[in-house]
Amino acid sequence: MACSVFRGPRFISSILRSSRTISGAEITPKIPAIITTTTLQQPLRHSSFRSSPLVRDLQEYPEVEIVRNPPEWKYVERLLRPQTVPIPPKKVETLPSGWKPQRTYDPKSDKYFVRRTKNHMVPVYLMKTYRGMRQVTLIRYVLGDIWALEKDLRKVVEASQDGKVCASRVNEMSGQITFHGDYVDVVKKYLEEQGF
Amino acid sequence: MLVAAVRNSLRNLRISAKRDVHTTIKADTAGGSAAIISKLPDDPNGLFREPRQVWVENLDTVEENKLGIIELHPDVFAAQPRIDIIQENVEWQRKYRYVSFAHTKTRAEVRGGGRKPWPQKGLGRARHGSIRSPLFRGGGVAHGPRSPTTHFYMLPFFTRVHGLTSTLSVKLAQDDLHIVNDLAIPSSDPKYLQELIEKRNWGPSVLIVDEDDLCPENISAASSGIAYVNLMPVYGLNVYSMLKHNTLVLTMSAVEKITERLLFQLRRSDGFKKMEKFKLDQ
Amino acid sequence: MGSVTNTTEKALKMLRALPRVTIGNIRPNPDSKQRSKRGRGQHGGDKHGAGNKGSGQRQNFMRLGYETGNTPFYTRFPYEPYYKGHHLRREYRPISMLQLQTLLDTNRLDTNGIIDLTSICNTGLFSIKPDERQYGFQLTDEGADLFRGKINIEVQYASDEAIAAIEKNGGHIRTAYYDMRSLQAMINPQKWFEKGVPIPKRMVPPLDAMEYYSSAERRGYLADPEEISKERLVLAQKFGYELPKIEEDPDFERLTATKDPRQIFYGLEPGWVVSLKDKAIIKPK
Repeated sequence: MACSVFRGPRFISSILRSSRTISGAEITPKIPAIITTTTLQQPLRHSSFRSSPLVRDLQEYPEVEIVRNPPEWKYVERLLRPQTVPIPPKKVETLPSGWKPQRTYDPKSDKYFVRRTKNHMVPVYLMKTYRGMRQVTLIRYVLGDIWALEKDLRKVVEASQDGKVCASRVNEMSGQITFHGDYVDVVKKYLEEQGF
Repeated sequence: MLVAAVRNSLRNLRISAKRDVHTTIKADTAGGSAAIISKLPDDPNGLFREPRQVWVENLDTVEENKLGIIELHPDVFAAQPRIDIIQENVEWQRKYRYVSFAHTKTRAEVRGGGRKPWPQKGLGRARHGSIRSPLFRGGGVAHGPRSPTTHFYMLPFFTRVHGLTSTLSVKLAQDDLHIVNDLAIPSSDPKYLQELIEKRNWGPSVLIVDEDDLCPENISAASSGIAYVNLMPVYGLNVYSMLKHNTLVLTMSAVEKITERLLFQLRRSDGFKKMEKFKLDQ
Repeated sequence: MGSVTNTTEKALKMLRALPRVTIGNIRPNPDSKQRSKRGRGQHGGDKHGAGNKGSGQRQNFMRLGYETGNTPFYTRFPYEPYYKGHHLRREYRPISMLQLQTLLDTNRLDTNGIIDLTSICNTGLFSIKPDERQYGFQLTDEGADLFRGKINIEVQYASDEAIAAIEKNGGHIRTAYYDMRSLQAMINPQKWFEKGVPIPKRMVPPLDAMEYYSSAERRGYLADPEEISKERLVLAQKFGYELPKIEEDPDFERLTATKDPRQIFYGLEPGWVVSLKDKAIIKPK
């Protein structure tokens, strides 16, 4: 696997001068990964004139071969990130991490519904401000009768601290409920039990 | 269907006759229920609300012919109509390109004023160093505008995405959205389009959005003759133009592309990167 | 109860009865625009919060840390040994076993190959900042009891409990070092390929990390594989579980695939230039 330090392909300067065959194959200007001006309508973003090194004496560059549709392409594809969030399993008994898919939404019988985030997680967050002195539990993506959900959540939250009252805020417009304090675990557990 | 149900319930609230463009889908029409031209593809993420069903019309004739029904994705065409986000987008579109050329001279730039006008003490007058200081009439301006001043800023990425979904939803909700199968019209006379718009009760200004920037000859010639009828490719879709024009007309291929692009932006895996501070050349 | 009266549905319904939304009849959220105005009158005016005389009122402030003449705090001490070598310390971003299990459960990680730094960064949920001397990921043992995945994973540091959790389930773990330049390629391979720069060669670990990555106990990538098999047994005995026979596993090849110590991407050699647009690889002869 030892290979000499790879400086750059030899044919860059060949394109800059004139077309010249290297290793029997005619190099067409259709290999934009090396050259900055491309056949695309927009210029390549990540290679730039300033960042690419100056062409040096041709002898310094090693001989190369261009392999199209190489067998190693599957390894390249594995490295590219999935564009959108992958779809999680739909119907599953129990998973080791405790993650459960959301139940189906029934607009006729559900009083309220808490939608999952883009990453398919329950939208309960802990917001900390004032250098950690203030902790607020935030529930987002609430559809339907948000006031009824707040009432139900309040019961759960107060039960977790022996009936002590805590402040809450409902924003019907944005579908958010906030509780003053750290009740993330309690709220998450309740929402997961309800199937959200 | 939702459209029919809402229409029936708001019968008393109808304000203008133009809201009668879509006829209620009745089960007892001759020939049975309307043919659905395009159903929404199965969304693996699951649909939360019902898709919106919209008539597909034609542009071939001045009279409207309903060719079928297309289903629109609720996350794009029935998103929460956030007027504040729409306003932010409009303001951004107006301001980010604006360069102010207002210019005033400072006390250093105003001609003259190098010499101390009168001695410091003895005259009984206020002490001054130059006749062009901001205190003086004819003097320089202290914190005035300096040309050119740019007002460039980037609105957060998802604010712009939600601006588009909100505006599309508003347009659909207010019956200002029409879907057309393609842009083939019989003549290149602007009068044809004007008649069509008049007949169908579309708002005087119409924005026609197609998938690509190459449009058929006739419609390009016809719309170039009218200032308030404009063609636009999907990549040029923006909140300001959609609000500026009364009616928005989308081709079926444009709808597909818009839906695909906006849903991708809402579900992309590197969303956090888009939420970072905007930097040029990155 | 009847249908959910969704706020969005309510709003869209209201819009049907309202005038057309145009540029001329929209406004920002109330109180979202704050006009900065110079205070006037008794409370906002007079000296406008700048006090009397001095550098404060004359807007010619003293530099930060200046203590009006006496030797300031920041020059009193010639050195602070607490921060010695701080700039050389390597950081490893923690991932708990619970988070790893959640990723596996929600199909975020592709278990077909090695789960390395690239695949974890590609989920979009975790990021490495090499500029802040973050050299990779470390596996913490929160959720090690729940862990049930059979995976081939490569991290930069793993606690004993984490290693045990993975090997107990028939998986395979290695700790590997990536130098700064290789990290840049690892965290965003697509960006690296688009640059047109060849895949770099992975450098050997620095001296203070050499011992760690050569030790079988830590499953280092430079360690002797035979020593590692011995250590697997040792760990099984320490934590009291039956070590599954990975050789008899039908997935043996997938589970025991390892990279060469000089290789960054599995299956791709250093020196190659990958052209994504043309689906071609330029290899030096």
